[in-house]
Amino acid sequence: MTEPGSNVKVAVTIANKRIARYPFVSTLSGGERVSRRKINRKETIAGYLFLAPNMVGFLVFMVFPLVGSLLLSFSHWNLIQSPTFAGLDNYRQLFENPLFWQSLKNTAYFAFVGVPLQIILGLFLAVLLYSNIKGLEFFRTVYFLPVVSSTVAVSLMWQWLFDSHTGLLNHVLGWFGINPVPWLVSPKWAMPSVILVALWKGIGYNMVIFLAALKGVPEHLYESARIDGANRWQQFWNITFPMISPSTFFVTITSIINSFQVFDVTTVLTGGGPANATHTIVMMIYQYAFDFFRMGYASSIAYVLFGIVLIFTLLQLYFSKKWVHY
Amino acid sequence: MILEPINVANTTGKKKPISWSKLCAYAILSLGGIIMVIPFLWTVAASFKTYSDLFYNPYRLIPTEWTWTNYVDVFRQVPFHLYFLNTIKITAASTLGVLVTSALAAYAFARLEFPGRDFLFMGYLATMMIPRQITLVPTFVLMRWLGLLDTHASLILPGLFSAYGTFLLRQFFLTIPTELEEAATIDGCGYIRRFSTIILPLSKPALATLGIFIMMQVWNDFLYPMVFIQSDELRTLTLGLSIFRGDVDIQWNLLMAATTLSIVPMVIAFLSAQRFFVEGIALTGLKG
Amino acid sequence: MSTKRTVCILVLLSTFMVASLAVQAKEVTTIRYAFWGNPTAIGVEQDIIDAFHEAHPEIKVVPVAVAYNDHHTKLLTQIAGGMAPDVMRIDSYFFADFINADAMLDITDLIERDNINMDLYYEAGLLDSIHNGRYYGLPWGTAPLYMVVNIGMFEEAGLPVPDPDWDWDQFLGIIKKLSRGEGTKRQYGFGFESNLVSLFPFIWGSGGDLFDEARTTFTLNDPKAVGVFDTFGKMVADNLVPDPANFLTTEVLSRWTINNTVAMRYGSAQEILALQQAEDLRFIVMPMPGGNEVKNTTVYKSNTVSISKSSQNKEAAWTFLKFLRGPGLEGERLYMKANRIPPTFNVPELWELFADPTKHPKNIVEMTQLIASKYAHTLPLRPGWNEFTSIIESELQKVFAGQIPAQEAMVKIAPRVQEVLDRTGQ
Repeated sequence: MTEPGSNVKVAVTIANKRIARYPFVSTLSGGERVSRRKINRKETIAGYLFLAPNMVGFLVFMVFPLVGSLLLSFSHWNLIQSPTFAGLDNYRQLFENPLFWQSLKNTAYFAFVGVPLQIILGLFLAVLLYSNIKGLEFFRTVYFLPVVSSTVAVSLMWQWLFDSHTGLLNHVLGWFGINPVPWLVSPKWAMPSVILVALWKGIGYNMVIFLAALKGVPEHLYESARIDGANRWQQFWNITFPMISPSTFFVTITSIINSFQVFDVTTVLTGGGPANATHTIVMMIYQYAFDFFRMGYASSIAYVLFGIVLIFTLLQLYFSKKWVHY
Repeated sequence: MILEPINVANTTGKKKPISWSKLCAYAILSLGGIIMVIPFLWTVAASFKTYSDLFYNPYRLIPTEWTWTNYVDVFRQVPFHLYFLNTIKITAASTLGVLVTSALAAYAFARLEFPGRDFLFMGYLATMMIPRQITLVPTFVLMRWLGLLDTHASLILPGLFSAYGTFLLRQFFLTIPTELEEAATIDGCGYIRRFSTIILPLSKPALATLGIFIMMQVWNDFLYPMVFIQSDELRTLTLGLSIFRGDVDIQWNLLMAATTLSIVPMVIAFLSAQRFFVEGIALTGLKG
Repeated sequence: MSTKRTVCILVLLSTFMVASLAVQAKEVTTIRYAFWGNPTAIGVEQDIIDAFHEAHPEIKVVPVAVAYNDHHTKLLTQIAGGMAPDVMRIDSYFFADFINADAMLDITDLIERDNINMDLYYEAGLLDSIHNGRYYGLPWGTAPLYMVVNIGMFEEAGLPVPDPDWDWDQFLGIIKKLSRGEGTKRQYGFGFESNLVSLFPFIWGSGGDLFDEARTTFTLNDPKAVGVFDTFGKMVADNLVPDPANFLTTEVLSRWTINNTVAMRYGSAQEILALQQAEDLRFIVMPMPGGNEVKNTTVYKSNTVSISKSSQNKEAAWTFLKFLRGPGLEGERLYMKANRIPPTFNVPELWELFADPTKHPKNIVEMTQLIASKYAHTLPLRPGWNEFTSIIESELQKVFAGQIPAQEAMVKIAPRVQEVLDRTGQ
């Protein structure tokens, strides 16, 4: 049991031989895997058993509160007196609330501008940091520092940097003859500023996932590619990218989900202003639940958000068949 | 564009002259690195400044006058060492727990076929789409029913069943060539043996990644501790930090000292996990 | 020998057991007290709790303390989960909604029963704890929202510090004189946040208000209030005052005060504590400028400490509340020691304890008393406060950013505010 070596060694050799025959990895995609075996009873039981420890807690601690809040979304509840049945009132009112549309627009802006940048830069960084240069560990740590820093402390620092009056950023721009930018002050610039901070804070996160994924790409694939005369760009697109696509897929899905729930950075940096330019959906949820005494309404916002994110996730799952290779 | 090739550091022993692309890489990394590290240095610097110095000379990375009193005050004003121990305990328990439950579930989702698998997996993903702010009250009620309020269990238990972790590991497990397992099956290995002798050893980078993420997530979690914990002796670091921001009259210098203290363990954790990121899949497998 | 020792031990043990049983028999009631604060503030509360334990060993008070920003979230979650704290501090912005939800105990009868002398409180401070003539708590943190004046900047410009009786025209004149310099050297006579509370003094001064007398109809679309917003909008456009979007978080305004960018600003007692930490800043406090129609324009605000209606130990909670906020002075003396909030009672001894003569603002005692007697104005608080102020404030930010004229903005949001008013009732 404690000797994994022998089996694995054989297996790796077999696998390597196989892959070596097909330098361009698309043959490793998942389709083969699915049809490989028929469903059998033993495997079904094993599947449920492997799932069980997670599933039990999952049902209690995740699904139960979710169902609770779903029910609440059909109620009026001020958190103090008993909830009363509201039918679809909350949902109906929600769609008439201009703040909802504004927050949704802001959140989508944050997600659809921020997520691609996060992924591209994170991947770029991981590729750089995977290479054969000195001081890698140092750089990796440096890029990971913002991820571990507390949002509150770094937001304060960014406020300082963004300060329209005495801020360091405008000072530096001044050296290049660029006019001061009203970073957090103007409704037009506030969201880009927030995205910048989120990017700065989150890029190291994606970097780590991609680094781990890059480790999984067998070296000899590149060797055969080089023999075939592929340049680095081709190597990236034909080997690296398909090989790490499951991780890219993971990063895309979770980044979209997380970005649609952006809360911390906007709360500390701008409080949602100016003129609601950075007010996000989850800020709205929090506000309606705990400032406005409207838990039912807040729950309905959460479930509309759920629906939206679910649609995007399903779309991604659908399109993933075209570019994710297992 | 794609700068240095994906050369595993330890495979090439030859010394090559420094190329342009390498210089380019260094330049980009250094510039980016400065942008990344400055806020951290600023936080550390601010923790050694007096309040006035921090406000009058915010951009000086070297305090006009070094002062240790912020650190002393942090420990004098709140039992920060207790918060540390509590957070370490909760983080360690959660991280280990998540690694176990997520790896098991991820194996089922990635490798085994059973009815309802994809539906369940979608259900896992779906739970990530509801913000915790809205499930806070039902979770509080649940904790009350379970009698877990004001205990560390209320912070550890819900974290043990991570949809995120399951998803992350599933994606990594899927990249492991199935041929490896097939070979083992031929040798007569059962599921548990295949999981523990093939999948797990090959997933060290992924497990390390998940470990460090969960660690960070639990370390920095605020909402649940804020609502579930009452006793001072059970508080976590984030609660301690938030108390320093407690009123409008924030003592920024103390907050920065407390923040610095809370970051250091995470940096150390990351540095020690690096070893696992660096190990390649082939190396891990062949070492035995 | 060993028998003797055994007997000895047995006797000792049984004595202990009897003693511990006796202690348990003398029932200790445990109550929970929820409040907010930073380490200093929590320390003060702990001192008071300790003093209370000494005076009342039969009651044990468990503190439930978090930061201000999280306090109401935690409080509401606990109430929702059926675990309301027995005694709770409530920001006055939330007070009316708690009344609406019937969350607080009417303590009027208890006050009468125990002959509490309510005349000792500052009258304006009590208003925020009263609903329909009944008391639902005792005030905490009674204080004006002062005009904070950076005297260094006045001296530098050769301007005299205004008289407490100053008015709107003088105020505008000072802004014009003090707003000078270019680029990063630009200084401003006045800095304001786009929150409604900091604009009330000017709205009141112009003769306008948020609501009609009954607090059921929105009246900010009235020309008087609109005129105030237009004036400020124009000053922002002319760069006479900074765009309030600079101050989305209070820290920024404090920083601009400390580094002499803003000469006058609006500030609470807590914000003064933040400014006091900057060693070189010299400042005084003032009432807000009077208007042509209304002279008392300084917002005067109290928070409330209440007893939960669902508390199982109302009598114990009341005993603690009396100690904490009642005119017995014990609790209040301990509060004063921390120099955090001005006294709630008009008692000279407390003022002496409160004021630290070595710290700015050196006129705080004199001005606070003057404001309480002459310039105080309480907010038109009512249910739904947080919800409709957030609608108004985000629209005001658009006005100050020059996106929309004030008149149009107020007319546009009137139905939305009215909807909140109608839904939340009286």
